[in-house]
Formats: sequence, structure tokens, C-alpha cells
Amino acid sequence: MNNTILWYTTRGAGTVSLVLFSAVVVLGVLSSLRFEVPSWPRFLTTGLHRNLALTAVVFLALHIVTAVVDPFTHLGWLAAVIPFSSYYRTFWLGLGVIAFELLIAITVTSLVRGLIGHSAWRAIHWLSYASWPIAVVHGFGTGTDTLSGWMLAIDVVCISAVVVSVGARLLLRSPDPLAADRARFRERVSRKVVK
Amino acid sequence: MTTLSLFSGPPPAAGAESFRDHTQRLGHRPRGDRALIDTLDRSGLVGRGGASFPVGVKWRSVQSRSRGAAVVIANGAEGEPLSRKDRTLMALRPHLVIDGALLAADAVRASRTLLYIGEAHGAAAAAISRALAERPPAELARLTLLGAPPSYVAGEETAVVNFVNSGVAAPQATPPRPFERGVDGRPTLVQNVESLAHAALIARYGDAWFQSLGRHRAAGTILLTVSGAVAKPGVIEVASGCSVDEVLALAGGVSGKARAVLLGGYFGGWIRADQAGSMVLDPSGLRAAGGSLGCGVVSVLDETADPLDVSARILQHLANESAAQCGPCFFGLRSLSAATTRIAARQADNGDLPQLHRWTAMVKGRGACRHPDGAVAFLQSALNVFEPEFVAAAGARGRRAS
Amino acid sequence: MCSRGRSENPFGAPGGNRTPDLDVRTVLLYPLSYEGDDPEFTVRTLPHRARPARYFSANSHVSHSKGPVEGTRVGMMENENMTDRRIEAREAATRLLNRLTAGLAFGAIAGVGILGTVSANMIPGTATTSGTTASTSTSSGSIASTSTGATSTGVQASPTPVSSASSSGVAVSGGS
Repeated sequence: MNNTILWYTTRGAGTVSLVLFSAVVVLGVLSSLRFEVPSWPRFLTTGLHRNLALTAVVFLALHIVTAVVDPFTHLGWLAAVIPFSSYYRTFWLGLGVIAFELLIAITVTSLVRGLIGHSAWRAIHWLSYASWPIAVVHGFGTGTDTLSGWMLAIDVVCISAVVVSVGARLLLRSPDPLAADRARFRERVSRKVVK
Repeated sequence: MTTLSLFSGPPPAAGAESFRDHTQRLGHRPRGDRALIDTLDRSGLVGRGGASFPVGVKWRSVQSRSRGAAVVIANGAEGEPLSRKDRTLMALRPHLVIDGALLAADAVRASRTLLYIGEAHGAAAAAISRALAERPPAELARLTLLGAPPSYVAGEETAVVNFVNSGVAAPQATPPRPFERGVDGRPTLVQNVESLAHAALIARYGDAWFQSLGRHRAAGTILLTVSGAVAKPGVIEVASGCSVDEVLALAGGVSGKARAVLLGGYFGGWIRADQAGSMVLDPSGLRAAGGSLGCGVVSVLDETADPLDVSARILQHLANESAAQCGPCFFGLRSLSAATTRIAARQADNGDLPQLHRWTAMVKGRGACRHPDGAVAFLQSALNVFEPEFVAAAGARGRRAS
Repeated sequence: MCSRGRSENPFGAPGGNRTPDLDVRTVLLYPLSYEGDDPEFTVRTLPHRARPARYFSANSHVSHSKGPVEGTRVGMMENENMTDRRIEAREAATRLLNRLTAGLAFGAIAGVGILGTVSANMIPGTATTSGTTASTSTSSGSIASTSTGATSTGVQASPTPVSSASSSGVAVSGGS
């Protein structure tokens, strides 16, 4: 009985992590779009992005820990950190490990962004566009519930949300409120070609 | 007491000193070399562009990286509205400036020497142009004249370098600094024209001579632009180490009753009149004490002027001159300027004055360059010196403008 | 970023403006830590704009290359309650952020519970074998019907034997 609870928790937490991280990605994309309406200022988007990310990490930890301690899985702690080292669904689980480790890098660098500087932080943050899809594929591959209707529905919603927001990001030019003023300044301080 | 050094020679009315008169009075310029840099170290000459950084150290930092292809830029942009000393110096003693630039080029082993002069400074640019034509061809071949855009930040050294490299005088704060990699990626010395003129005389007369010109521990002479409520505003040369009182006396004395003095320009700060008088104007000393002479602006505010109004205008100018390269400067200075203007107009909102204090702390250090820091330092000095006036105005509910 | 003592001094030009300043600055266009979230601003023209300030007296050689207020109307609107409303809006938004965070966190906890239960009601092996069709209800319905409306305990007890019985490629140890 105990073991099955662990197992269901692993699955439940995994799904919840997927949902949360999808929301985090969407919020991250919306941040770069500088989305804003009167009742929703910009700092709300980034604030929620950060808060949800940390929350999601908690549930991901729950997912990983319950999976590892579950005697059924025979996973062992090493399997959670060394990709493709488990006997159980080696490939799919390995993907999960990779996504997890990318996420560690992203989280840690975000927490110490002040120390490492903006460029380094930004470069690593881009890895989120790798981590999330790898996590989704991990879910498909290891997921017992993958083909259940509800799981599929959740997958569809999460993936569409991310795809739509990324699409919007690619299609909409990010508004830079300073662009016009900067151009005006540069015009003013530019070398005149006529002599 | 007036000590002349840069302005020795013909009186201002005589206009620009010709090359012939210049060489007759001072001799031909010596050759610049590493020994000159040591002499500059001993002379105590510090930069006159605003930061008061030791000139010898600066030249050495470029010379040590130079492989014969360094670049020297004489900075005569003078974007500070209250300062006129650089353009006056260039208009009256163009050959001193050119000598200094060439000496620097020799000492740091530069292959290019540029004269970057504010395009709005007509007399200065004309004088320098004519002076160039008077120089021996070998020297003329080394020199290039550039017009600097008339913006506040155009004289900032990275903006100067960017202008030469890309045609746009926008400042930047990220490394590398010009002395490491500047024009065309080469070590670049950007030096104020007054500093170069002093160097041209030190090369002839030595460091002990320069030291002797100053008062007490101060060295050399300094150029100041005196303006505001004085009888004879203008550019004066005084011994370093003079007091503000002496300077104002030289400018014909204060007309009316002085309320405060603005020292250093828009990036400087206010001092109450009763404290200003005895202040000693020694750029090195001030720098050591954590202050700065800036670009030598001394401007007197009298009782009839409204310090809030003046401060608001200055802040507005600084806000308008933002390069719009980062949010904290562009938006921060705009907000600060708007709040200050409202307070000055006696139409402040309740939150304006506390917000000024808060935003001032937030903007500092957050910009992509030092422009917002300077503006904020100015505002802080206004808030300190004119605190009673700010509080009174912020609480006032005057008649509304239509 | 370090704020040099110099810049606190009222007399200062900010230190090191022109010369070697080896601090590395992180250039953030909109640093998250900057609270001044591009606020709108209002500027009213000074009522005494027409009067040239005595400060810049006529005899002085000093002239403004461009006066700060002349010609450049930096202002836009004249709404005087702007500041107060903005402060309130920010505080409302912050409260919203906190509520959303808490709500989503609790929702997530509940989600684990709910999804765990839902997945527990699905016999993983059977779900997969009959999983080619996406209809959840039919598969669990059929299981329920074959077990004659088994209670949850009955269903929960079955996963292990069922999964070991099914050879649909679902590993014995079960997955999430």
C-alpha cells in the first residue's frame, strides 16, 4: 500500500510539475514580450514566473524523491543524477535526468544572478528551451498514464500554451520603449556626413 | 591674487595667439617622451575634464600598452552648459593645446592625434583651424580636427571613442576602457584640452615650476568659469588652492546677496554661500576628500533666484540629455525631473518629495554609464542644501497653472 | 553596484567618469530590482517660464546651448492623482501576485492528490492496452464493469497482479 502511494505520488507530482513548468515557460516568454495591462503590471509576470518556478522545483523534487525511494522502481539515487544509468526505461528516464540537470543550472544561476552577471545568466537561461521539451518527452516515454485521456488533455493544453506563446514571441517584435528615444539621441550625436 | 600661466602673454582682446608669437614667447615645443610622464607625475597635474585624475598616471596607462599605434584625443567637447573655459582656452591659446596634444602623442607613442572640438564652439574651432595651418607640415600631417556633437554626454571619454569609431557619440560603461582598447581597438588617451595645455608648459618649465604656482600644497593654476550673480562673469585663471571668496572677488564680487554656489557644473553640487566662501579650490585636495572641482564651474545663486527653479531646470536638462540606453537613466531621470519640476512650481503631489529621496537612492549605480549618477548627486546636493525650501514648496498648494 | 563614497558627496562629479574604472557593470535594460518600473510622469510647464532666470544673467558669457524648458515639452498629461493611484495599483498587483502564488501552490498540492487518485483508479496495464482510444471513461468503465463495480480498494489491489499479467510492454515495476 505504501509503495503504491509513492508510485501514484510520483506520477501525480510529475504531472503537476509538467503543468507548473509549462506555466513557468509561458510566463517567461510573456516577460520578454513585456506584456502589460493596467491591472497586470510587468513585475507581476516576472514575479509569478519566479514564484511558480520555485514552487515547481519543489514538486519536481517530490517527483524525483518518491520515484527513487519507491522500492518497485529499483532506481537508486545515482539514477536520478546520472543520465541513462537506470535499468528501468533507460532512455526516457535518462531524458528526465537531463532535463532536471539543465533545470538545476537554470535555477542556481538565477538565484545568484548578481554574482555571475547578466550575460552569463541569460546564456544559461536559454537552456530552458531545451529543458522543457526534454521533460515533456520524458513524460511521454516513462509515463504510465501517457495515453490516458486526461493526461493527453493536460499534455495538449501545456504544449499548446508553450507553442502559442513562443510563436507570439517570434512573431511579435518585443516592444522596446526606449527605441524611439534612443534613436533620437543617436541621431543628435551622430557625425554629419556633409562637411 | 591672479597667477597667470595659460593666459600669460597677449590679453584676451588680442584674440588667438599666433604661432610666431607663441614660439617667440615660449620656444618651440620640446619632444615628449617617457621622462615627460615622470615629470607630470611629480608635477601633481590632474585632469581638468571633471574627474581630476592624475595626468601622468593616465598617460602611462596608455604608454605601457602602446605598441607605437596608440591614439591621442584632445577633448574640447565641453558639453557642460555652464562651462566656457575649454572653448575660451582654445580660442585664445590654440597652440598650447596643440603642443600638449603632440607632446602626449610623442610620450605615449601614438600614431594618430585627434582634436575633438564642440561643433557649437565656433570661435574655438576657427582658432584651432587657423592655428593648425600655422604649424609645420610635419606636425599638421599628424593632426585631425573633429567636430563634437553638442550634447551633454558627448565629452565622456567612451562617447568620444565611440564617435570616432562609429560616428555616434554614445557613452558606454562596459569594458574595455579607452586606455586599453579605444579607437580601432588601440590604446587611446582622451585628455581634456586644459590638461594638455598645462602639460605643454610643464614640458618646458618642469614640475617644480608647476608646483610653485599653486598655494600651499596645491599645484599649478586652474581655469574656472564664473557665472551667475557676479559683476564680471567669465573665465578666469587662478592659482590652485585659492578660496572661493578670492575667486568671486576676481569676478568683480557678488552682485546682490549670495545664497548658494554651484561648484563643478551640472554634475557638481550646491554649497551654501556661508560655507562656500572659505572653500579651497584645489582639484587634488578636493578629490582626496571625496569631492571634485569638476570642470571648474563656479556659479553663484543670489537671493532673487529660486533655487528650486534652477535645480529643476538643470535636472530637466540632464534628463533630456540621457542617451536613452537604459531604463534607470532615461525613466529614472525623467521621473526625478518631473517631480522636482512639480515641486518647484509649488504644485507637488503628496508623494513627490519622499519619492525624490527614494528614487534618488534607486537610480544611483543602476545606469549603463555614470550619467544618472551625476544627475542624482546634483539632486542630492540640492535636497541637502535647499532642504527647507524643498519642504516648504512640497507642502505649498499654490495657484494652479491653467 | 558599488556606490563610491565620492558620488555621495555633494560636490562630486561622479568619480572615475573619464578614466580607468575597472568595475564591471551589469547592463540590464530593465533590471528587475529597479522598482521604478517606467512610471508615467507628468510635467507642468513652469508658470514663470517666460522670466529668464537671474542666475543666467544677460551679461554673462554663459549661454545655454539649449534651455532646458524652451521648446522641449517633456510633459504629457495633467492628471494629479496619478501618483496615488499608481501606488495603489502597484500594491494591488503585489497582493494579486501573492494570492496567485499561494493559490497555485495549494492547487498543485491538491493536483498531486487528485491526479494520484485518478491514476490510481486507472489500472496502468489495462489503461495502456486499451489506451489506443483516448477515452478515459470507457476504459475505466470497462474495467469497472468487468470487476462488477469494484470498490476502490478492489481496484487498488489489482494493479500489481494485473500489470504482471499483462505483457503489453509495461514494465513490472510500473511507471508514473
